[in-house]
Amino acid sequence: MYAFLVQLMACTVLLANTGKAQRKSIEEVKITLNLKEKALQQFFEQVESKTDFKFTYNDDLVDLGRKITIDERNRSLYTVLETVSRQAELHFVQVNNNIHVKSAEKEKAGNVRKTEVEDLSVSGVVTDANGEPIPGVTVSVQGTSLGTATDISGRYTLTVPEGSTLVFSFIGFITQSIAVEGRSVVDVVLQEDMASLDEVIVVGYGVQKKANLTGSVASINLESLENRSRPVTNVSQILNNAVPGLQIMQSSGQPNGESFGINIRGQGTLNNSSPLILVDGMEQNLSMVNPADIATVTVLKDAASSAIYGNRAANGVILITTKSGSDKVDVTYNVTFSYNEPFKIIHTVSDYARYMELFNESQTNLGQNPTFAQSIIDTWRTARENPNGLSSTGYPNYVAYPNTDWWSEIYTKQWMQRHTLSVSGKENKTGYTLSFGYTDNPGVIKKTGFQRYDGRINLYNDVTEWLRVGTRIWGNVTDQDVSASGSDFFNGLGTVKMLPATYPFYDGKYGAPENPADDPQSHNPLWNMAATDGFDKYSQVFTDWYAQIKFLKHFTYNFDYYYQDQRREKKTYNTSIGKYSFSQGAYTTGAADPATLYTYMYYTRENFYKMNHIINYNQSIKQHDISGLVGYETQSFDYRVTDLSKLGLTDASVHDLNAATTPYSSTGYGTQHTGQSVFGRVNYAFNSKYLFEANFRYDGSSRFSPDYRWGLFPSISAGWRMNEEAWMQHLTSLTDLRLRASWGKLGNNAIGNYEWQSTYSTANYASGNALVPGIAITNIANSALQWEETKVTNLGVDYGFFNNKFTGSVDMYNKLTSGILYTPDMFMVMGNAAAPRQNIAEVTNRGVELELGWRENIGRDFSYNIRANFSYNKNWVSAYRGKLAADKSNIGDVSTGGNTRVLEDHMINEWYLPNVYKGTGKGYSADGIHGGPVDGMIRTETDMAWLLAMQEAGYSFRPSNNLAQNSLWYGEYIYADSNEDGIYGNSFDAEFQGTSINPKYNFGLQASATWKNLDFSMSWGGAAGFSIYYYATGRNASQTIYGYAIPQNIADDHYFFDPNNPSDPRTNLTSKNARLAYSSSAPSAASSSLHLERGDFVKLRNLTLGYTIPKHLSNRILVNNIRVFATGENLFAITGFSGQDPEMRTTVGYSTMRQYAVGANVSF
Amino acid sequence: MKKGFKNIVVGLAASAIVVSGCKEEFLDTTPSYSFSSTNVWQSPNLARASVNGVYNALYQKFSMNYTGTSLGVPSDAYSQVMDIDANWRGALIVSPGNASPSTDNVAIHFRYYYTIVYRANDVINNIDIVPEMGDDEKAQLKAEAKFLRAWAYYNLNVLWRGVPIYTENVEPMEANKPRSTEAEVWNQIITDLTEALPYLPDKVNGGGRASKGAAYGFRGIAYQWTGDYNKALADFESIETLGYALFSPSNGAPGNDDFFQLFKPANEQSAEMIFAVECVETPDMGNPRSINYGNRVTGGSAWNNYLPNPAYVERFENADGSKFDWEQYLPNYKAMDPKERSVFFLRDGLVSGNGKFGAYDFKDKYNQMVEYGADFTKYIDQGNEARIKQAYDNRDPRLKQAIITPYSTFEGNQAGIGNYTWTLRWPYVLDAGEPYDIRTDTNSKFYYLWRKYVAERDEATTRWVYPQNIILLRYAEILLRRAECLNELGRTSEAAQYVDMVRRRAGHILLSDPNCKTLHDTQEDMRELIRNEMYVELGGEDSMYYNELRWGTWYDLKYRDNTLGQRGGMNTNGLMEIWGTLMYNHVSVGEQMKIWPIPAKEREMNPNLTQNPNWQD
Repeated sequence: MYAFLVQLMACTVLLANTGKAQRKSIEEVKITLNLKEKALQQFFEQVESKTDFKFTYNDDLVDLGRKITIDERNRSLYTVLETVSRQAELHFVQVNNNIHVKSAEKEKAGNVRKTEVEDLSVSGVVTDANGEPIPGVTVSVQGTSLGTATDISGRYTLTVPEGSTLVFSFIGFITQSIAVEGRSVVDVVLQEDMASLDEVIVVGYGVQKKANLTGSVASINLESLENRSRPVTNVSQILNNAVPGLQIMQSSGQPNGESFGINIRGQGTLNNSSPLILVDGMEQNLSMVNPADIATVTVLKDAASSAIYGNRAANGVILITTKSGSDKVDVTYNVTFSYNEPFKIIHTVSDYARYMELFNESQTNLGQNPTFAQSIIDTWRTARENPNGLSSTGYPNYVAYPNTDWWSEIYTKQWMQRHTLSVSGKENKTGYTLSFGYTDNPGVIKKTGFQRYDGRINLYNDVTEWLRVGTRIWGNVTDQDVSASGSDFFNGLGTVKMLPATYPFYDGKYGAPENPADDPQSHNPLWNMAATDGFDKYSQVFTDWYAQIKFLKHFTYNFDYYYQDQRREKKTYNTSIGKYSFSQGAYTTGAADPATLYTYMYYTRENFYKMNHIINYNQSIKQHDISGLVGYETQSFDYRVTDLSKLGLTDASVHDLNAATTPYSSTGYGTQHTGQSVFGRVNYAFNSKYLFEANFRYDGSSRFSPDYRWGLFPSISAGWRMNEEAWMQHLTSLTDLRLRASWGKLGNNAIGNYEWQSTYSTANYASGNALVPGIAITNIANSALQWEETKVTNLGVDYGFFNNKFTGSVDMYNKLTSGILYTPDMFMVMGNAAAPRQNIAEVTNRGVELELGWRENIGRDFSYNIRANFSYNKNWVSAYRGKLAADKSNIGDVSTGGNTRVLEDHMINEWYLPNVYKGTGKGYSADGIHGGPVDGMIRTETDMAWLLAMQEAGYSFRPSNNLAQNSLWYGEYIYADSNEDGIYGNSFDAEFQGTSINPKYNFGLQASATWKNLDFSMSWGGAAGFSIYYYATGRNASQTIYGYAIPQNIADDHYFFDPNNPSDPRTNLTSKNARLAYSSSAPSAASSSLHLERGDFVKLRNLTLGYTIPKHLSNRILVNNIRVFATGENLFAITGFSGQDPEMRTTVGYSTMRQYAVGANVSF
Repeated sequence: MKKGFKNIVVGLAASAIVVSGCKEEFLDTTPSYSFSSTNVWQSPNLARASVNGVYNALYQKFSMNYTGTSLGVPSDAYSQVMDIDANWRGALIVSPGNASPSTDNVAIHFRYYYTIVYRANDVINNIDIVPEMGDDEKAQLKAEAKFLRAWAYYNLNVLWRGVPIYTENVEPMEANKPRSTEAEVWNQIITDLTEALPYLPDKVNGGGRASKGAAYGFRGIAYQWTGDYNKALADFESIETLGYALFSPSNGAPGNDDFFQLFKPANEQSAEMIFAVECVETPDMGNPRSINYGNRVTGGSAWNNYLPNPAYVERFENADGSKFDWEQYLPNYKAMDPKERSVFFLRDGLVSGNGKFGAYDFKDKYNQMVEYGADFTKYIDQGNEARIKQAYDNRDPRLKQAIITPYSTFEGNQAGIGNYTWTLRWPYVLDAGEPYDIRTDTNSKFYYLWRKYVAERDEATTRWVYPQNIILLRYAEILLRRAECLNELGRTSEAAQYVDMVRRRAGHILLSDPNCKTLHDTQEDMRELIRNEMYVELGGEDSMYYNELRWGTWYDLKYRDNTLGQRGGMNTNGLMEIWGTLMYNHVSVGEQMKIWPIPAKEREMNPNLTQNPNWQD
């Protein structure tokens, strides 16, 4: 369908007919014509109606509007054409029954020729990869001007000379050459060509031919085979690593909360650096778009392409266009079933006897009394040997004396399914697309999933030739389960304070910690999840009501009114369930008294409207192509929240607010921001070779004070299609070569709605037992706030060789954001009111983006396509609050942050951590300071002796200088004295680590191939040059806490040494992991680069194998086309990172999913 | 052509209409949930509300941050009175031995007290311009703000001894004054309170707002810190005339529980309250002491984060006023290893294997305690509980009213059970059924538990919104401080009557009673007695840490060398089980801990700030 659209847009019309019988030459045919100042097109129409001849031409090259005058009676067509050819600067070639029309650039006007050839009839059908016939394909004979075009059902018939080679070409598809070799039937399957020069790209407030682009723009076709079958729930997963310069990192796998960090060309600001995302012109969250509705995604990367979006475009723009109707009725059904599992599980110790020993070790290491008696450990071990034996309460030992592997209980593997049905078509003057989608994504943790119903209507009617009215309405309803598995669940105690000695669920009861000597409050995460219930419903409707009016031939007026209504309704309530001890045969926590249960209702409503008026102008005068637009836009955004809760249910089974007794809390607020803008664009191209573009936007935002509200954001750009130059023509292998340069200015207003003004918030107090209203300074204002300004300079080259088999591009950019709104750290003596934002920082991003592609068809049946992209971005804060002194003593003054800092000449939030000490391994000597532990850990008695000698010599160590068993001891790390002040590891010893959480390199590789009916594709992606701080209790820390999990990797490998018993079998002097210590404040737990891990990774994001069922089989069941496929998503990562998923860039969270899916694409 | 022209005219006209319809006001949006600095001081209502906003800052420390972060830690957790549960010892700078100027806790406290200063300055600097507000009201509101500012500087000066003084708010980037001396800050505090006094009401019921009583009280305390006992005494004496009195409905009758009832919501309006954080049953405005001091059978399931130190519990005298001594009840107790001593605290029936409650087999409990090291030769199978109870029964009545001692009961409430009476026993068996032992968050250890401030039965339906006010100054403390001043001024004999007023309410033996064995004749004895009386009366109420710092006793009590374990006299250093087995001990980084370090981050931003002695950034 896409191809057909492109065809319509480009208006390449080739009509032809062949047939040897009774063919007459143009000299023989007589004609009578009387046209006065009429368009060329009318001339063609009249000739075609009065003779058997058909004209063939490309209206990109032939000006059909050209006026001609002719008044001939019963003259030969040859004479008539000669007259016209002079007037219209054309020349005509008769090929059999066709008359080819060409512009007379290279040959003299007035040239009319005719050719006779030896004939051989060939016919066939041209289809696309899905077996859909393609009408309008140009079929020509290589080396001649013979040709025809396919009809509506993709058929063609052509008479060709013997030994000919047929060339099949069509916009949007790769041109194919096939030798006839005496056959009379040649059927062809054309592969889509996304790099085609005539491809049309969606740009800000319009479309543009890719060949004429002067800005840095990338686009992704979501309808391609390989993208269509991906079982993703969010389109971001497809965009990931698909184009250079667009970095997407998925930080959670939680259904409906996947949270993708999206950056275009690096983090340009200290504020929100997400790009502006527009779906059919409407601001929308990517996660709320049904991926199946999307036709194309365009990424506007430089200022030239995004300046038309003004003060919201500083971080780049992503434009999403949905599918629109086709000319014939088209019904498609897509279905996917996907089996989802967590990407990686970090296990904790499940053998509870071992857990107790490890816990005791962590205490005896500090010289403390062990908590767990040997008799209890033995009890557990004995029970484990006989898991099915019955305990004294009658429950089996494996339940009464459990050894729970919690993460394997928390995560589950589940089936997800998705269905999309769409109908599109055109009846007379009305075009329509209807689509309906259903997604059931249960997630990989119970009660976290959702069901979503998507709907869309795109409808238009051509009321008259010059007026089209239409609407796009889309939206969805999402019903999500509620449980305690949000971020609190992972980062709070729920999944850290848990013991293997708790059985998850048995016999209808949730287990409690079974060892009375252990923390009875340790959690049962499954109970935690079940202790809250409710629903979370989202409903959102987006609408666009539009009218297009064509006037004055070259003008169009577009009016759009967008309206959005989003609601969220969330209800949560406490359930009343107890925790049971299977070894004691009793509830240790009873079901809660309904009077102590809460019920909550949370409502949000979001309204957005936007109104556009745009006037477009488009005209070609000889070699001059001029177009432009001016527009006016207003928009307003409203958000309101209500949050209510009550305490005390009559019964746990009834939980609406009405059923609860006591009001507990009710809060609510609303917020609004508005914008107003005028914008415009001018394009000029000379001879299709020299391209110029200029954009501007004059933008006002309510987020700034009236004095600083309005800003002008201009951009200019130019391009040069070098391959069109005559002196390049001899380079036959070169198909395309284009240079681009651009400069522009953008803004960013992504700050709070009222930051320039309000400062006091509610701060009530009580008197007696009643509240009295109070307010307090909570924000200190800065009325001189302005938007941030980003200037981007871009240089780019696009090239294509060998008929665009090999294509690529290189872009270099310099992006300077100045006046960054940032809140510097405040003096503590100013209290806790939020500091005012100030336009203080400046950030530079400089980078290179490369893209390479190779596509080839080998024979009729096999074709393949490989695309690779790479981007490098260097990010640094080019101005902030001054330089850092050599001794770092002013670090608090010139930088902001703690373990990550914002400081001049360093990347944004670069890691700033102490390094571990590195010594020679020798003892103390005259140059004592160079002795000591090789890797910072006190491992040997030599290390210890050195440490003692150092202390005696006056050196001291941080965070602990206490050389004692319960503090600084064997198996703890010491830190380097980078400033050589004799204090090792104090706060001035921290050093910049050269990395941040943001990757410097991003890369991707997509490959696809088709062989007959089989198709195969894969997508790789990765990022490098970033670090993740990973050290957390219960995940990978050596420190223990009563009632908390102990990580399995630490259990398996940690330092152990007892100076009083060096032969203890637990002795391990080589481990990188510190000794077990019952204390969260052990020296090794201190923040240091020891816990900073490189995040570099390469992921196999997708692997797909598809098979299109042959037409003769599918047609039997009244189906036009069926393709079945098997696919895998997020399959594996090659990485050195030891945590969950480096892409998540977090210590712990809802794991991303690995998906194995099967599905089908059916069209009727 | 004509038609096209018409179109463009129509199109442009339509655009023009739309454009002209959207005026500049379209971009003027104002928040509907907060107030702008331009109108706060133009409205009497908003001006009054900003004074409430200064009080509101009290909640940040006392109500909101009771979990995790260190701001909410009751300051008595820094004193000898109690220790924090081993899991959370990192929340105290005194405990883990890694305190430094970069310790978050230090910065959090520093910033907190300056938040009050900033809000108070805002009122003091601006209230005069408020229209339509009487001068009397302005004077009182200003006086309240000055009182709160003085209270904040009092806390700052005790912890840091000399801090920068701001009496006016400055621009955000210009707050880089150097430190004033400790004496200058005391001066500022005294000045503020002196200026506030004439405009404050004599007494505010419940103590939720500034009053003359509160201003005299804190000014007296400030004088105590400067060593001016005459002026301090005068201030404490002034309070007597303002209508304050001890809460003592039973007038000291034997067996009364007035001391216990004092900490109940029903009595928070009593005449004893001088200054308090006004707590209500609203999130972030309630009293979290019940959850932090309570236990798992406390209504709403509380946490016992803070555990009374056994040496503190020994401060409660015998009923006759003599010092408590284990040897008196359990001969040879002190010579035993703490683990051996645990035998005295065990429940009955462990040896016979037949507990008092049904058929529960205690064999595993017995084995566990044998392995632990209890000296079972001293075990009395059916009399062990009775023996240990004597050591708690024959004591200052405040002991059992403030602390849950072994084998005493507690009126709790638990999900699925409702109100019930639980008992503190060891080893723990079950709380959700017979024998209904008190369950704690630290179930593998046997600790003393708080009773003071802990909600009983279904008194607190939600654990963090207990409406009991948090008392920051009450009349009993004033009486004891008055006694202290008299004693320090050499008027030792006059001091006793004020101590007796407090002891009478508690039903404890009076110093004036000829049978009283409490030593109180010399100034030295009286000093010791008054200090002990303050521990017993005020423990757990956020007064003792500052007192220990003022007396100079804090460092030695907290970090007393405990290499000898608990044999001999009880050691105060660390969290320990009732019989003295150490869970952890507090680790000092040096004597500089007596004064907190200036936060490193503030010094990095403001080079004018000097560091306290011996702290290295």
